[in-house]
Amino acid sequence: MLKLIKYELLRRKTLLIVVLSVLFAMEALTAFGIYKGVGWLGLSITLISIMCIGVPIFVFFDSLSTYYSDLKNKHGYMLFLTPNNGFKIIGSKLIIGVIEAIIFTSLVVFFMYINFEITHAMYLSEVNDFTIGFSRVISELKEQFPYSFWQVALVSIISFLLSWFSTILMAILSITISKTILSNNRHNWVVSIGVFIGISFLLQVISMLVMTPFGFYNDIFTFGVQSNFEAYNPMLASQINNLLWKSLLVGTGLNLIYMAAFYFVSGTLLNKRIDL
Amino acid sequence: MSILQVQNLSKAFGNKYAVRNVNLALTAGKIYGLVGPNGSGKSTLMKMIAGLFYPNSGSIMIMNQKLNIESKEHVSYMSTEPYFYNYMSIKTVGDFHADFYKDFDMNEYIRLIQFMELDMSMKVNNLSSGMAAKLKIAANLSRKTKLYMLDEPLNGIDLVARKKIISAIIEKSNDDNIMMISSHLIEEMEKILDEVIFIKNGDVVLLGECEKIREEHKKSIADLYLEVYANA
Repeated sequence: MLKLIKYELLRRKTLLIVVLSVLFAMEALTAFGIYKGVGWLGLSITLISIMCIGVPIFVFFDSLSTYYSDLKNKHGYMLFLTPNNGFKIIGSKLIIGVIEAIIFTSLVVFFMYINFEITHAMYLSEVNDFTIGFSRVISELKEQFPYSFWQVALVSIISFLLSWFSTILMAILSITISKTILSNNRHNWVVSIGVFIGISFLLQVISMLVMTPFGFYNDIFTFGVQSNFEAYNPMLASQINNLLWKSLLVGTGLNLIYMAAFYFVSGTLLNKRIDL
Repeated sequence: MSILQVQNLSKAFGNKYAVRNVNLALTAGKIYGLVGPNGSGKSTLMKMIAGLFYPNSGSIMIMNQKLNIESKEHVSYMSTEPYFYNYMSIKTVGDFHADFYKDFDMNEYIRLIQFMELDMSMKVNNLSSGMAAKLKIAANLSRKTKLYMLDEPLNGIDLVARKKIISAIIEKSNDDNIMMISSHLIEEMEKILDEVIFIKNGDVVLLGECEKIREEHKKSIADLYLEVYANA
């Protein structure tokens, strides 16, 4: 699979250089906006938001577009003529997606750290207020919650990434179906979108059914009855935190199962029924 | 030694059959010509054997093994369409083949690239159609495999280069392998073919040794081609 990854990286070399250049240019503008202050801060906040949202969207579309292109265009012959099975081919594309996600997410986090340091240096008093407020929230959470902030942050990021890659694999399965068992269908891409929407709906139903025995919906209903938003209730806040933690863990487990299922079905279809 | 066995192989696109109930048993040491006009099913048949198309029915055995991922190691298929990634250079195409095919001979590739008057630094997306065709030939013939399938290897090639390609094919053919070549240019290919397979509307209509067919029909393969496909 390493060799497949090597050629996937070579194929994206120019694109990755362009994306990195765009990210650095956006960061330079962001830093400039923070330096200028007042009206320019809006631009900085917008650019940071675009970077945060843009990275997962880029990974999603890049993973899918190269896969779709290999199944749709003649250059896919080069790949599918090699003695590599479908699992390796899909696996290599996913690993590239993971590498992209790690590199770009780390870069954006690094940029945010730099921006925070610049802001700290230039607007010290405001940041101190913010830092104090932030520390207070963290310490209150610590008192009510048995897990550390970093544990929660890590599980949240992993959960988000798994959910994102589960969506990517679901889309890969839809595309695979359109080029295998539905390859003779003239409107296979429409059916492919239909399959994607259908599986998404099915997963929502399965997730709800799985969450119910864990008491998730019962807990929400109970909180709805108990909650009094005008008064802070530490007991209730702690319960909500635990509920979120439970939901994150169950969601992560479910996403792992979905990913394994999508990967297995897509790989098997590529091995047995491909029609380029 | 039987290298390729095809039994009752069919492939339909919608309601139309591209290949219908084809049976073949090809043995080593021969150059087979797969002939027929456009749309007769030649490419579809080759693509099924190469594992790029899934057959509706029938079976394909390569080296007495049912067609699977591993059997691709024994097949070198050259599509009629250009199919190398545009980002690649001629050198990268060689590296790619060396990385994925154990039987790829890089020295042979370098020799064939020079023989075809190409340059290793050239980018695939800058090649003319003739150059791209020569590159496909060089990449495929640099493997030492059991089954070579060349789909229209002379398409878009000038007269001088055609001779080079034909001599490269002859050079590569030996007692251990099969060359299956599809071409419209029957007159040029006829002299190197051992056996010929006529395919018409997805059906194999004539199959046999070229010499015997010429004797039996009292005409060249090229003339017979014109007769068979006159109303196709």
